[in-house]
Amino acid sequence: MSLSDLDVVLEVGRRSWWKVLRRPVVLSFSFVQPLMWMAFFGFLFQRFPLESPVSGVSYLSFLTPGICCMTVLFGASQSGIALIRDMQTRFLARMLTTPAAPHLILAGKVLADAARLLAQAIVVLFLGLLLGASLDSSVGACLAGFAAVGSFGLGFSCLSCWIALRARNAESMATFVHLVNMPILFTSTALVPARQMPWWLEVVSRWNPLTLAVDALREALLSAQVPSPAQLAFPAWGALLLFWLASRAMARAVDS
Amino acid sequence: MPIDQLDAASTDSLSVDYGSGIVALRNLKIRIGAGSLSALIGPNGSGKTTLLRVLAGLERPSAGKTSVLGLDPLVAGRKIRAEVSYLFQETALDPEMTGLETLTLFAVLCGIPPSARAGRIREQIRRFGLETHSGRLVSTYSGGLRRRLHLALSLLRDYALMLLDEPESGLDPQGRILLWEVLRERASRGRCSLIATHDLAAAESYCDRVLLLHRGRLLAQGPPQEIRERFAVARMVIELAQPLSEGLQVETLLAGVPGVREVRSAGRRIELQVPSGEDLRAAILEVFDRHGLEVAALGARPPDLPGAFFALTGCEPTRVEDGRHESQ
Repeated sequence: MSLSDLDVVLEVGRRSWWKVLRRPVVLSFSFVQPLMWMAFFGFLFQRFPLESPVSGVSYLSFLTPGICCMTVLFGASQSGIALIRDMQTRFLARMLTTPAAPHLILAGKVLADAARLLAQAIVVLFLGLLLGASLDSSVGACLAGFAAVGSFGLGFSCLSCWIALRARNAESMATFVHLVNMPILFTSTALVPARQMPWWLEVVSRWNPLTLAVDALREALLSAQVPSPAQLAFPAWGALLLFWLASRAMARAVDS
Repeated sequence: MPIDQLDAASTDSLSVDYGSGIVALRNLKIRIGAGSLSALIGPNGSGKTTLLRVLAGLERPSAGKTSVLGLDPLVAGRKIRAEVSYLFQETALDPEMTGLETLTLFAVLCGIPPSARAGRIREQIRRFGLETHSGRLVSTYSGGLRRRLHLALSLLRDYALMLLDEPESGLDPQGRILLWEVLRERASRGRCSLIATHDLAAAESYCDRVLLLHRGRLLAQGPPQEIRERFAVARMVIELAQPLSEGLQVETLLAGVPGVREVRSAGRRIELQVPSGEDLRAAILEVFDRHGLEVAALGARPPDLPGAFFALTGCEPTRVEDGRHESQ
């Protein structure tokens, strides 16, 4: 990767950020939703008895890392919507007829989205602390935990872009967002520990990628545990695979 | 062989078949000379956009060979994108970005080195008169401003070959002249451009070569003068001193003069077509003389590219009652 390749990634990323910052209402709403989840769920299940290994932790503290990951999930699943708009205005096709490689244009877009979602997740974490959640973490564990969440966000953002580039219309994209977000959230450990789920749900949750991200972040934030290499490697490999798929679709989007 | 000795682009037996009976291009053999400014003309739906898309590597031909700067555009994707710019017919811009942001993004995508970027962007802003608008969002731009920005983006990089799809539509007269002058200036530096256009007069005066497409077939290619002289018909306008008397059919009067076609009369005015290169004035005047009709004025319009266009495509503009011209 050359310096000019890096320039392409940064400039495309800058464009994504600018566009988000120009819509402050949408951005602030993206914090209202997690805040409501933490407030309503946090207080609704205040007396929900958590079993070991998280016994002794308040439900709100347990919930906060889950809601951080939910923010990333919801945001990343909408990543492709901007591409649909760019396909409709033919702006994407125009970017793809320049000498810049399609995978660099995609990289700029998904990296910017993942970075923005991580920043949003950190803001949500502070909102959780304001509401009364308490943490027991270290800087290293915290960084590693968020790295796992970042890989998850990157992978999901790639998935969303891949679907957008294949479907090429906003309706199919909306179906994807609605169809995927809720089942992924409710079959993960974001809201309830796996041990306290019915057995079949526990099985499903084990194969849910959101569970991996939630568990890594929760262990890092609540017990200063650095995520295991598998917890870090699995989402990273997943992100790479999905990036490759989306890159191929991106190269073909020039005739959209 | 170095690229400057090759044709900038050529096709051989090129066909694009969209299936179910829709054939966009049929058996096309074209040559675009290096460093030339060529116009691609033809009625709507004649295959101009399809040909440009094939040359840009955006369309897969059903048959035939295509060579662009000595490369196969379908195989050499990235090399083609580095040397060939394809300008869409529609102004593909992001309304939520400012003009300057759009220019900056494309300067980076086009691989302009950081040290040259600001200068190149300023040059385009000045050239296309965008100074007071570059800080505003594109959504606030008028149609003409969008067209200018659209063009400015593809001139950031000095492409060896530019393929432009009707870039003049929506541009004001100054903008059009600017566009043609920019393309002429490129040609003077050996940079080739192929422009699909409906502006036949401009194509005639600015282009080195003209390619005329009709229903996916190439009807003519060559310098505009050559096409004009080979295919155009000259028109003649005759004003009589007094109106034709009742019952005297001017069409039958002139039928005896070989070569005269499409005679139309309205009051004292008669319009007709004569083959270019033949002087039939004496023969025509003699006919009027014989019938005691005094000719007040006789004017000839020399053959032009629009004339050749209509003669070749058979899309003759038809006269309507109020004297306006409309295409068929």
